[in-house]
Amino acid sequence: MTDNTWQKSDVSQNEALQLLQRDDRAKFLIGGVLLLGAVIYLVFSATTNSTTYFITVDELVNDVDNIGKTVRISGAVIGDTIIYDEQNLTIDFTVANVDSDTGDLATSLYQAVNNPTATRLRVYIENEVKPDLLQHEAQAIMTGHLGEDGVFYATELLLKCPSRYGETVPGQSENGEV
Amino acid sequence: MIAEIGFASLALALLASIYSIITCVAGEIRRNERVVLSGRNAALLTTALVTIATVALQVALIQQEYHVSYVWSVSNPAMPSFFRWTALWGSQAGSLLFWTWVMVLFTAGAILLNWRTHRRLMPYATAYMMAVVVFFLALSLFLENPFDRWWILPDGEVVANALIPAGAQSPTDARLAETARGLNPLLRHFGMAIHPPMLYLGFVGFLIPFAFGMAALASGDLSTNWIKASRGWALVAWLFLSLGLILGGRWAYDVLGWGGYWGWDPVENAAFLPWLMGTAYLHSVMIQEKRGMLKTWNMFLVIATFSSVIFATFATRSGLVESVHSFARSEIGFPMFFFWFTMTLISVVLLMWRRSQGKLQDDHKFNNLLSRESLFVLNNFLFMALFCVVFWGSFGAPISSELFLDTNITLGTDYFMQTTPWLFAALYLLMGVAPLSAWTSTSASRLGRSLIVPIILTIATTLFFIAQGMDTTVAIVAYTIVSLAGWVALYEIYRGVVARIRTHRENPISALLNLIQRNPRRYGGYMVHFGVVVIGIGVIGSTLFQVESQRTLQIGESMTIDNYELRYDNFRPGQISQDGRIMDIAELTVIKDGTPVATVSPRRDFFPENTDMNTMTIAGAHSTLENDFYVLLVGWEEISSNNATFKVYINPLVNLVWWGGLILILGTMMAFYPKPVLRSSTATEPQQLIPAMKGSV
Repeated sequence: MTDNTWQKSDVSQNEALQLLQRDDRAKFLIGGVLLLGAVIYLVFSATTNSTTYFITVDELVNDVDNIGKTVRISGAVIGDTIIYDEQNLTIDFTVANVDSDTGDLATSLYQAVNNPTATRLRVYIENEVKPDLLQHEAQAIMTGHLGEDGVFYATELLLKCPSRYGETVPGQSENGEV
Repeated sequence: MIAEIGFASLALALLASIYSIITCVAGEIRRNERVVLSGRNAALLTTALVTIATVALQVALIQQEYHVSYVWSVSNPAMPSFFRWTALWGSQAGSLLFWTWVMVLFTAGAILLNWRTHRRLMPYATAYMMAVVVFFLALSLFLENPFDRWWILPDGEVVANALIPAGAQSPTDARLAETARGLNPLLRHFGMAIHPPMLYLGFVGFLIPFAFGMAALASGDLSTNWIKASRGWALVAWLFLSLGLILGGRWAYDVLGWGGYWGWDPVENAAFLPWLMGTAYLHSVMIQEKRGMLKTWNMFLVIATFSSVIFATFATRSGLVESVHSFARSEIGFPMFFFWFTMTLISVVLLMWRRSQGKLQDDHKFNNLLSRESLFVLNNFLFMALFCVVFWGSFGAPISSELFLDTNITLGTDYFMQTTPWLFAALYLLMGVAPLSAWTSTSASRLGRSLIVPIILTIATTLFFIAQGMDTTVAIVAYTIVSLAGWVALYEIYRGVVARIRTHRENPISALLNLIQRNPRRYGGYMVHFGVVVIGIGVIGSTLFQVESQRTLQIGESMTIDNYELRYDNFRPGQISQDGRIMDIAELTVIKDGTPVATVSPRRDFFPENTDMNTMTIAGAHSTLENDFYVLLVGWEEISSNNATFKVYINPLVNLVWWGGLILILGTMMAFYPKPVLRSSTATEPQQLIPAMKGSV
């Protein structure tokens, strides 16, 4: 190898490097766009596949179109309707429509179960261990569908007690308890 | 008396912290050292005052001062004393105070350790930290005061107030003790005793890197000083946040009784978001340190990490989302949202302003697709993608549908199971390849050569799994990807050790120790990667191969599940525990291949003194590295209890999740290992002499 060839290759190497860099920038761009596209597609398809509408008991019952559709609803549990079959792990109970306008969850739930005109809905869930929080005046958040028979067949049951972290006044703790 | 002390200290702390902000900023602008020092001392005084307030609340809890409404709401006379300590964070008001206390401790730590080494950044950093403290103190004082006391007004109404209302009387202690509520049974668990503090330490810890970043923008010192100053703090925060997440999973697994540890619940996700952002940040700052690149981006990441911490706090505490463990809807929602929004906006505007001045220009450009820095960018991209995916699923979709479409939608677990596995797989793959690439430029063939040994080991591992009878394609692919990352981490450590044995003639153990000591960040990092791999193996196993069954058994009868047999032996109803709970306990024997291996005692606890939530199902578990045999007592005949129904889960490899967590923690701690004091014969940089926390991790 002579000096001459070294110099030559040096020049062409520089050019090649520049070319390579330009090439790489394009690669970065293409790679980035592809990745971004893949993520957006993933999110989009998963969103359309697993969107569940959160509606009220009233909305569910008052629209015939809702029968059979998977929805999420929330209602106030009426304590003495709970029937738990621990052999077959099925739970059957009734919830009352909660009017969310009162602002305070505890009050809303109390009003819902004590309002004789509130819409009531029977709920049936299979293969579910009775949750510890399933009790009178608890808020039940359920995913499932309304059957032709007017019963809500739930696949998921989440419960919330308004006072779990909140506070009540000492004098009221006895009155509030039913 | 104790309540007055606490309340007064909180009020004084608010004044001291406001004073500290003003003096730090004014003193720095006017270059008046005395004023700046006064601000610094005020910040330390704030720490002392908040500490007094926290101690006061703790004393009130231990002395059972039920006239303090917080004490009344989280404890009762029957409670064991251990939970009187943890009741400090058992409800909103107390946990806010506790949060603020952790924050001022971090602030004091940063001031004491970094004041001399990073003098130029400190006044602004202190001001930023104090600004956040002011907000939380104000929340405590005006909206969620833990020192409110019960008062009976002249008209008979009972109110909670910090100050004595006119003509009011205090209710009798006996009456208050009788009605006191006691700690939520779900929180009476060891995991719950330490999970919140760990999570808070993690959340709050990110305040320090954020404050340093903002101080760099404010002061104009845009070198890597802010990264050096905050590196140790970011690692501490990350460590605690990881611990908090793992402990939270453990608590859910032990207490919630659904056989799982992660449910993609919005509140879990809220805590996961800062972790994702913080992990991206920890990786990304390395590029700036080594190559002076991504300056704006790193600043953005530190803002986004802390911003998501505040967002997570807001989402959890405001009742924004429906979740198993959200706090009750409360008044602090709007102020917290406002604070989150302004803080983020100010930070981003500050960042854009410095950027437009051209002060955040990168020293180098990206020029190779396989270079270490490019792969770090890919890592950042994947973490951001995961962040966006999780954020959209838990908050974005529900909130935007409510705002713009007038409907209320939720995306369930399905959504997360369809999106996140791909991104996790990509991250694991990257974790396998990236550590082997070189800075600036790497050729594909060189990268391929260094991957040969790990790939051979990975193939062997996969074949081993297949020989063990694993035939699900998803599992085979998942295990292959995850184990590659594990082998790369181990192989890199091995190569380092072998090189030292050869060059320094050391025995393997001292070679390993010296290796770690020479480059704690690198080898600590490999260890963390290995921990994440072990967690991954556990998650894949317990997600894909969980076996579930349920049956009603008579005493003496057995059921078969997988290759196990479960025999119902005995029922012990009405056992009264020390803390007043009544336990109904079933005793069963787990039999594997004909030999009894363990007895499990699932039980149902009843808390007679609790009015709202009074039963709890506690699983009985037999744990081995191979799997967990997890039994729930779900029902029994009230009178004879001859028949009882059990739900059984076999969770393969679930214990690797916890063991992996432990490795991850050890690895992070390894990264703190102080560098040795170098002898004068080698080049010494003053900073290398300073121990880890001061910025040489």
